[in-house]
Amino acid sequence: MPLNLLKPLDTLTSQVHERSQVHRVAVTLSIVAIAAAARYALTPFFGDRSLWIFFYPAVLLAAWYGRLNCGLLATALSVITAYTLWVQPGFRGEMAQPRPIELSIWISIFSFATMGILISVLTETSHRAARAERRERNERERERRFFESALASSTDALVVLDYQWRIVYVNAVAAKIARKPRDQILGKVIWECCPDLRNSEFYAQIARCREHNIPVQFDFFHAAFDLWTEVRAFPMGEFTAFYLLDISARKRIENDLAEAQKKLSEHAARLERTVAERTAALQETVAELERFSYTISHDLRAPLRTLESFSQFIMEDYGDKLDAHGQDLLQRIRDAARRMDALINDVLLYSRTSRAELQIEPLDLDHLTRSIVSQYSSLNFSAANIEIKSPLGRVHANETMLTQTLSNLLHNAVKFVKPGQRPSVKVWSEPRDGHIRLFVQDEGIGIPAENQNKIFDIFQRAHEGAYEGTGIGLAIVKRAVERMNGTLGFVSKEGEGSTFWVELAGA
Amino acid sequence: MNTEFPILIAEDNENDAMILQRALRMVGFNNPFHISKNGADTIKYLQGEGEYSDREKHKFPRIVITDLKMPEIDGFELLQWLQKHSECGLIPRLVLSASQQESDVRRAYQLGAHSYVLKPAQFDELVANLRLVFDYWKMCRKPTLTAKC
Repeated sequence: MPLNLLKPLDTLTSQVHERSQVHRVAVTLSIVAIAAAARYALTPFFGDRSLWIFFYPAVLLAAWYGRLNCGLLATALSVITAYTLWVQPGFRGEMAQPRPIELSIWISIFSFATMGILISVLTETSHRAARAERRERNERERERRFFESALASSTDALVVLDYQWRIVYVNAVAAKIARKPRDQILGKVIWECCPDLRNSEFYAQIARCREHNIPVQFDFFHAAFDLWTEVRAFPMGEFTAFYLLDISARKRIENDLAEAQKKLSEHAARLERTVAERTAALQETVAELERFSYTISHDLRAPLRTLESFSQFIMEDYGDKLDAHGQDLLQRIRDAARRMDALINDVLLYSRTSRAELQIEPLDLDHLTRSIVSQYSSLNFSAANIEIKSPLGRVHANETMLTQTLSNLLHNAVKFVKPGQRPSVKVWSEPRDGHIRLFVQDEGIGIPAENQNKIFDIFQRAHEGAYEGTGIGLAIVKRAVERMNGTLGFVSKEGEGSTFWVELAGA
Repeated sequence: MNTEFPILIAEDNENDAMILQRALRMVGFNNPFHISKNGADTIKYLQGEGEYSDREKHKFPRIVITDLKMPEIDGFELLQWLQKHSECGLIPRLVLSASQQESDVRRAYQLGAHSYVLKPAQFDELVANLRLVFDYWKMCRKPTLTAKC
């Protein structure tokens, strides 16, 4: 409504602005002409004294209508007209002749001109002031309407309270949330509309906002309306405004999400428990299996001992009563028993390598290698040519496992030679990024290419039959090195020899 | 060497007992052997109870050789018993077992075994090992034993 009222004013202002110069000059001329005519007509009543009385209104009117320049024009025209135009015939005798212009007349002309200019300027000034005021009022009104419509059309509910907790503004959304018409809410104390807000977190938060003059934001569940709202309150001088955003949907999703997360974590915990249980069960099974295999291997050896020993006793006690065939058969029993025992022994060793508790300590490779070489007669200098290139360095390893590893590698290097060939073995080491790689090189028969991929597997023998062995030695080496967190490998060419290496952390 | 005093052998496996006796004879022992099938009988002998009360007939032993895995009272329990009885604790004890388990070896020594020899597959090896042990023991100074536990 106020906008519509303002419209004509606005139009008028713009019309003033739009009047053409010619139009304004014409009107000015007309006004001055009317004043002159009036003076002429009324001369009999006023006489000469009324010289300027008609022209002041003319100047004022012209200035009001045509602005500053028209006012000045009217002033000038009035000065000219007052002394050049005639008066009525009755006075012609006195006035017809141009009179000498006296000082008093000059003064009167000057004062009229001054007054005319003053009137024009004042009129113009008041014009401008009025226009500026109109414009400002207009602007304010527009702004107010803009904000009002903005607030009204906001999707957030807005409520403004005064210091007595009275609702001084509420927009449509807020009214909708309160489920009451706006005019029933406006002016009321908020507790009248929503008694349950008192003594709630809402009250505490808004009070905080008012007391500390700070904006606050909080989520609030309004039980009466079954509504989750996000409240953003801010102080506005003596007022407090707050926006309410309906976040029920978001809260529902959040709740669902929390519920889902809870379920997920429960599920994860259950899964973890299951895994732990199964791992424990598996470890128990593995331990059981190891105990079992150990016991089996262990108990298998007892009858073998009997077989072997008693065959020998027969040989010793009754050998002379047996012919060559009988002795041969007995010898075969003994050999088979021995071989079986060697197998079981190696399986036991392998099993022990797999499960024994490991203590890793710094070890001197030179000392270890030399003591192995001196301990076994088959590795003696007389039987084999073993060259150790000292220093070999120190590694972090388990003494038992490393001894087993090196002993197996050295025995293999000495064992796998052509019949009659004197074994020649080289042992040396190279540092590699904090590790030490120990090489054992022989000039033996080498490993056929087709067998090279399975030599570390248990019970695999690259030279089946030709050389004694159980096929477990390298499997033990591999297991031992792995358990010491080392690596191993080899290079071999059939007929030219093999080079095995073991890499362990340096010490 | 005094051949009057017996060697106590705790071994449940008859065959192993036979092998051991033959090996001991080969090492040079002409002493009588007393074979117990479990630790309980060995303890009874040591205490001189029941059928072993006649110390003239069942003399106090100079050496105890025991297996570890036996029914009722096993080798470990026997060792423990020997350790607890001061006079018996002085008898040299040799464990002869097939077990290579570190835990078994450790426990046997903790319980006072003087040597731990593996039962080898080959008879000759057993003889050689026993010879080494007893030659060493022969060389060592030993306390005089009283026939009481």
